[in-house]
Amino acid sequence: MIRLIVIELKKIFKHKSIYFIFLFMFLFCFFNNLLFKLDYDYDGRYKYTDDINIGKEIIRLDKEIDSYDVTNDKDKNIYVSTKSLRDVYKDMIKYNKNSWQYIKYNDYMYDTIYNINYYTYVIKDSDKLKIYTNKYNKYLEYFKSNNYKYFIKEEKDTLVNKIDDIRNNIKSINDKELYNSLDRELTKYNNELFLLNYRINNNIDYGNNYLNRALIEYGNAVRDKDIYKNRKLSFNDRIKYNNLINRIYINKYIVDNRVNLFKNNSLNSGLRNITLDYELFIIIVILVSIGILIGDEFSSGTIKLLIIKPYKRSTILYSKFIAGFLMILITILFLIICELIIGGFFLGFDSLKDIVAIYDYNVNSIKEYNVIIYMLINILSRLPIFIFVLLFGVLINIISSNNIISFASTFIVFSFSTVINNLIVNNNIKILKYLFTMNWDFSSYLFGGIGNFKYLSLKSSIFIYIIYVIILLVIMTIYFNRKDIKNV
Amino acid sequence: MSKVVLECCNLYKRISGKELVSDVSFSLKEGEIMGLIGPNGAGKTTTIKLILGLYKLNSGSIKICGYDISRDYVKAIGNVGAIIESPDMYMYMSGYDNLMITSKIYNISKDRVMEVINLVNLGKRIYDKVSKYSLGMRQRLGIAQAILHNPKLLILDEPTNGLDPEGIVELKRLLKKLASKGIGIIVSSHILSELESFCSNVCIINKGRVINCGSINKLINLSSNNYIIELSEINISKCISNYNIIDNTHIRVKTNSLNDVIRKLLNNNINIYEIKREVLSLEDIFMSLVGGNTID
Repeated sequence: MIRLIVIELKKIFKHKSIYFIFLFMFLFCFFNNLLFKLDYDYDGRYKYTDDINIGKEIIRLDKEIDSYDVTNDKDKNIYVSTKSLRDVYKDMIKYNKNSWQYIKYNDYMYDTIYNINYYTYVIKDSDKLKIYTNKYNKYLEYFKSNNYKYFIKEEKDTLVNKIDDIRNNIKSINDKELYNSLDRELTKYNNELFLLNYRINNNIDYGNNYLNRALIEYGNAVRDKDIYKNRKLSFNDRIKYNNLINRIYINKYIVDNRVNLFKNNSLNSGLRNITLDYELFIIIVILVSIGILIGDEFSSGTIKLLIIKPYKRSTILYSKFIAGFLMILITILFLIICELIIGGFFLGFDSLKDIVAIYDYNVNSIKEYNVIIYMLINILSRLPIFIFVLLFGVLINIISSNNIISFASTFIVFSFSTVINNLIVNNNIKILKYLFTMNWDFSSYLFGGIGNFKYLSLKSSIFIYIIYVIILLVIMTIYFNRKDIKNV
Repeated sequence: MSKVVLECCNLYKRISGKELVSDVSFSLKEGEIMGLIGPNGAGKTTTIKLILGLYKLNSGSIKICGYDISRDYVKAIGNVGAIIESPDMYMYMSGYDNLMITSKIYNISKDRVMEVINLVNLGKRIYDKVSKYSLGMRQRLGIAQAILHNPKLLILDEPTNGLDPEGIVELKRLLKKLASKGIGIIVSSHILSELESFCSNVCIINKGRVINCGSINKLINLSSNNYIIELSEINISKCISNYNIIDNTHIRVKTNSLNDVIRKLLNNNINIYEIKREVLSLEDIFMSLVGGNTID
């Protein structure tokens, strides 16, 4: 049988079409990595965001300011607000747009600058002007010396005061609605305070970087987790709750360990979910392999050549199936090699030593994996999809002896599987839990995941999947063994 | 005594309610070349496909070199080489690659592959893609593929298709050579005159049934029931009555009335130049047995 399998693989690799597909995969990998190289910065941020162009805004605001007559009372207020904004922008532009100074400047400085302009042009009050000018200079000094902690402390003091106020007032409230409203506000401020303390303790400024993104995500998840406090959770609630727990632990891990786990433009990221990113190509390779191994054999008549060889028909069939399976593995290996070489060339190999941190629901803690190990785990969890597509395609091709019917039906089933699954899950159609598309992707069960449908578990999915595979194999074998090879 | 390489007993095959072959029985010994003949749709290809396992038997038995194909298919089919309907090749591969696939399956050496390539005269073209071959070249490659593993039974469906006269002569020579080595050969063809020149046996099939089966010579002898007489004149109706006029100088008479006819002719002073037994061609025999070429 090994000899037959080698011959079947040779048939595939003698066919030009397979090389076109591999070439397209290579090109896709190339341009994908090139895009990540060009469009993302060192922190994994997309360079070309829709942020306002400060430079252009300054020019526009200058023109607008020139159109106002500052001596005219009617124009004074609009003049002051426009000028204040312009002044803020003029200061902001001096800082890197990802820095905390750029991000927070407007928040901290606008009011002060506004007051300076107000007491200069609207109400001429030299005392108040002096106060705000001093405040401006003091704040400016903090910005220049990178002293973000001063501002965090100010925020913290403001929050603490607010919290104390509410605590003092809430004791005497009798109205239930008002009480609940104040209680919610109190919770919100407490969460903000918790986040501020975390920021201070971990020395995280307000910059546009992965630490801030992680901190904000962490804070949001901690806040949202409270919704599920003291509640009996439905299955869908459990999924959402688990996602929140995941976000909490992962983002905390990022902050505590100063490691950017979500950096898209890295070789590490490119390898992690390779079968998901290149899923369509793998499916195309499967379909083309089925066409060469089964469809073409029937249409060209070479199937007769094979059947009159000293092998059982089932041996011939299984050798084709195994060759198809090996093509899946060869394709995945090819993709890994392409990603390693091209991703490494464009994005560097350093990220290979970065670990992949995953929240494991089995042990309720973070587990660390080498990126290659994680990649292999992911591949194994999704391999059943490809095996099933191969089986299904082979069966349809044998029955129909028609490549087009086989391609179309297999591709449609695969393409619509997500839609079908979502319909089943969203409408809670219990009987359809036995559908093969609901039981071919085991990635949602990895690391203690609970899957996507409350009527299914990992054990039941594996069991249903195996039953389907056995049924398909039996039908395929019986049909192929009994098929009369008519005029081909 | 020659061994039997193929034994077909009471073969019956039906598809979609239509009987394709019924009660087909024949056998083939080592060294025999059997012509399988019949009109279009007679059941020749069906019979071949049943022998090769491409069709499943509804009833009956087929033994190849003593192995029943329904029980020991792998052992039985290992002794067979065949071209069915047309040579089946992987068009996107070279002739050499196609032969190497077969050689790998049967564990055949490269020397044997080269020997067979030379035998069928494909030469350097063997390395070209099959899609670039002419029909004749594909036919040669098909034959090469069929004989590569030295089968004991060779089945060829229309093997002279696309071959030029030289190719046909070479093929006949090759088949006779293979038969002399003990290979049993079945050749299915429409060109009866060709079959006659190298087949030892013939099996005539019509409408899914065997009409006649046996040695060609025996069939011809049995069918020759007449004599041809060459005369000085053809105007002999006054003296004899039981004869057929062939042309101006020849008549045909049945064997059992020959003596009577000769006596009467001599008595009437008609000169007899030649008396010879009428030899029918395979085509004549076939047409007399099968009649018009109809397909049900």
